[in-house]
Order: sequence, then structure tokens, then C-alpha cells
Amino acid sequence: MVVNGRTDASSPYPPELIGQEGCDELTRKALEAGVPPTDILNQGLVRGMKTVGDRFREGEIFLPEVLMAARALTAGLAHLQPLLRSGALKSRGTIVIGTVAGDLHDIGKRIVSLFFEGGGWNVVDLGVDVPAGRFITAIEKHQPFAVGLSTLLTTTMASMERVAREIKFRYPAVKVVVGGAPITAKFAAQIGADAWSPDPQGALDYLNSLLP
Amino acid sequence: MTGREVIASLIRDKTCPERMGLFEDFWDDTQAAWELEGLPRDVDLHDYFNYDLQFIDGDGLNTEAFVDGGRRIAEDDETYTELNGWGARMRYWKHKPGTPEHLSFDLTNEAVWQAKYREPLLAFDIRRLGDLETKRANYRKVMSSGRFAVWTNLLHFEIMRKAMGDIIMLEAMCLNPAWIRDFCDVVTENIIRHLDALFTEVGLPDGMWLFEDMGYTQGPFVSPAMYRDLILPYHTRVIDFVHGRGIPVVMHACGKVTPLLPYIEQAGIDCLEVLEAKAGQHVVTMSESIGRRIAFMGNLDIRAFESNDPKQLEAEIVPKLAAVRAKRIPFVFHSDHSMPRTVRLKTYESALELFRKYGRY
Repeated sequence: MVVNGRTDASSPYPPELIGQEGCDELTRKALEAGVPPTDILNQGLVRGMKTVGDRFREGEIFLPEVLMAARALTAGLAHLQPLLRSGALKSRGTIVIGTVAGDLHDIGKRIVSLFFEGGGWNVVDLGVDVPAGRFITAIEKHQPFAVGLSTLLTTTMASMERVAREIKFRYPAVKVVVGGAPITAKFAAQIGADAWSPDPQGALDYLNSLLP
Repeated sequence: MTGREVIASLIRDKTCPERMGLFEDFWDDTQAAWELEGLPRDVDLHDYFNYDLQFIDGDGLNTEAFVDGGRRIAEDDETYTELNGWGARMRYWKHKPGTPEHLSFDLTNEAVWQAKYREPLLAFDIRRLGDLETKRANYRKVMSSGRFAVWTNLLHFEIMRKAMGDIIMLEAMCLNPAWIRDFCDVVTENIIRHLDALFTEVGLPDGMWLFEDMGYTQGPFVSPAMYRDLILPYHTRVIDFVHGRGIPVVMHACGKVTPLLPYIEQAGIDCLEVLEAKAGQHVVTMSESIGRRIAFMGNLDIRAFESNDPKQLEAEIVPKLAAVRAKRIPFVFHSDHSMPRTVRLKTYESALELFRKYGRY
């Protein structure tokens, strides 16, 4: 149902599934039936979002369909939140994400955040125009596994470099993943970032590959 | 040939005159930076670089629901926040260019649209044309310059983005396509009615320049099928109206729009700009992928300019112009983005030397 973007039985989307249950009802029923929450998360919601990410990367689906999938995912995750908060169900780790100083662009980072959350990660979104100091403070507070840096403009690539170098200098173990319209693998390597991806699923796959 | 004749040949007639066209767009702070590098103070860049095309007026029509609804509501040293005529709050840089931050939107669903924002768009409002005396003065000046003079305006994606932001817009395309169609229908009639008045009150331009960002680096915002069903009919109506007045249309579309090309072509545009190279697009491939002959403007990778490396610049420009010349594609020399201050004046002047050397058909 994540793949179809079906949130709940009252949703008008997708038209061909009107009247059918969505992630909301199915997650609730799975919990009531005694399916382990870890299976619901990893074999259901996360796997569904992975399919969405792969299809998005291949150009088979587009942003509206991704947003519908994210809504469906959120409806399912709502039932698991109490378990995540209590520690009965563990996230894969924390990712701090933000658009670097000098850039107010938000949507790319928000889409990437949706994929990270859909991949079972806890996301701390610092917003836009974030200077290096705020990333450092957030790292100290949240002890993330990785930091995601975004920028839309060529003119703020230098800002991304400053932030990336500062993070890697102070916290070499924290993975730095970069993305955005003007960013390339070559530039990512030049600024000392650990990874670059042109699409959200690529970044997620990279982080997941580092987990034991 | 005058600039007007060159661009008319390329864009209106889709023929290749003696040379390619020349135009460029700049970030707001580039000229000031270049003045520190030797550019004479306060020159008109169109005159200085001898461009072939010029905007009569960069503002276009006021297409917000409430014409006088925009005002500044907060500011600090670096940024200011505006409430626009759609009830949306956006934060802008004060001293440098960039996209605004979307803070909040009032137009979040169809009920709000019906109750508040639809009605004001139905009536003719002369204020949507802007200051007519200023527009007449600009019109006379640009029309007498010998350059191809264009009015500019936003199209539906751009207007929706200002009204409801990306997320609400894209979700509504799935959850309530009827609302999107109604929004686009009302906006289309509003644009046509007020463009008609602008043409009557001020004058017909040589061309119409329509801004419509429809993609990001990896692809279009929406699928070709969704574009065809929800947007194409309204693009076509606006373009048909402009064509009906004998005016060719340039569409500015950032991002990777290649998958939409068959439908953009169907909408009837005469020239596509800006053909972002960093989105993996190449003018020759794009030209060959469509059945009808249209003109192209842009596609020169801004990253090559920003390298300020003569070799990188030459490697980007010379083969591309050679390919365009070999295929006789109607083409206007232009970067694939606005020119930022990080490009040195000397670099840009070198690019123009390459244009003069290799930009002939």
C-alpha cells in the first residue's frame, strides 16, 4: 500500500483503489493480529518505500506519487510511533539534515527526509540556511550516524564545503552525505564528503549499506 | 541584421540567419561584482554586450488573487519576509539572489480556494497590468533599440507554486485533480484577459516570454501523463491566444524537462530556454527528439563558466556550437542558468569571443 500511495479507506487516491483499505487500517490490523512490529516496519513499510525510491530513481514515478507514498507511510508509522518512543522498536539511527548557509531552498531536502524516515531512520531536520555551527551543535546533541547536506545553487557550494570540512574535522566518524542540483561525485570527493547521490534512494542505500 | 531580425528569424521563422542569437540573464548581484573587475558603472548590459533580445519589463502581470495583498511583514539584516497576494509567507535574501524559503500557505485546499481566492481572479482588474506609464516608456525604449522585445509572464506551475507551494500543489494533483484543473482554468482566463489588455493599452511585443519551471535536475516534477492531463490544455490556451496575435512564444523551463518535450512541443512553443546541461540535457539531442522544428536557447553549462578556466569554457562552448551549426538548429547563445557573480567578467568576455568566432551558421 505504500507503493500505491494508499493512506486509508477514505482516500481518493489512487482512483483505482477507492474504497479499499490503506496503510492506516492494514498496519493497525497487523499489530492487532500479533505481527511483530519489526516485521511490519522492515518487511512492510520500509520495503515499500524502498520500491518507491527505486522506481523514482528509474524515472518510473514522479514527485506526486512519491508524496502519496510518503503520506501512506506516515499513516502506517503513526501506529508504530508509541513503540519507537518506548524503545520497543528501534530506528536504524539518527540523521541530521539541513540546507547549508546561504540557501533557502527546502523541497529537495524535505523529499530526501521522507525517504530517510521511510527507510527506518530518525531524522532531525535543521531547516534551511543552516551554518556550520548549528550542524555542530546538532551533532553534539543528537549523536547522529550521518549528516545530510543540501544545496540548490552553485553559489552556495562553497558554503557546503565549509560545513562538510568542519564536520569531518571535528567528527570524522560521522558520515557526511551531500546532494542537490549542482553537486557531483567529484565535488563531493573534493570537499571530503563520504557520499553523494543524485537521488534520495541512492543516499539511503549508501547509509543502509554501512549498518551491520 | 539587427538583433530583432536575427531572433525573429530563429524563433518566429525557425530559420538560421547569418549567425546564432545572443542573450543572457544575470543574477541581481553580478553586475556590481563585475564593476569591481572593470565593467563601466551602471551600463545597460544589453547595450554593452550587444544582445539581440530584451525584456520590456521583468515584472509581467500581477497574477496573485489579491492584487494589493502583498506586503513585507518582517525583516532582519540578511532577509525579509513577504506576505503575498495568496496569503503565503515567503522569506527572501536582502542582498543576494536565490530561491525564497516557503514559510506558510493559506491556500491549502479547494475549500479555501472556493471561499477566498477564486472570485478575485474572475474579474478584470487594470491594476494587474502594473504601472502603465512605466510600461509604455519601457516599451518605447526597447522597441526602438533594434532588439527583439518580449513581454514576460508566469505560467501555471509558477503561479501555483507561489499560491500553494510545491508540496500542496503536487499532492493536490493526485488527491484533487479537479481542483487543479479549475485553478488552471481560472488562471488561464485571467492571464489571457489581462495580456489582451496589456497588448491594447501598451503594445504588441515581438515575442512573449513565459516562465514555467517544470523540473529539477533528475526529471520533471510530474509525469508526462500528469502534465498532459492537468497542465497542457491550459498552456495550449495561453499560447494559442498569443499566437493569435501573431506573436511567437519562448518558454523558460528549468530542470530536466526532456520527458515532457513531446507535450511541450504540442503546446505550441516556438523556443525552449534554458536547457539545463547539468540535468543531462543537450540541445542537439533535444532538437532531434521532437518532430517539429523549434528554436532553442541556453544549454551552455554554467559550471564551465564558473570554473573560470579558459580550457573548460572552450571545451563546453566550441563543440556545442559546432554541433548546432552542423545540424542547423535555430539557437540563441545563452548559459543554462542565470550568470552568477562567481563568473569573472573576463571569463564571460572570453565566452563572447568564442560566440563571435564559432556562432555563425
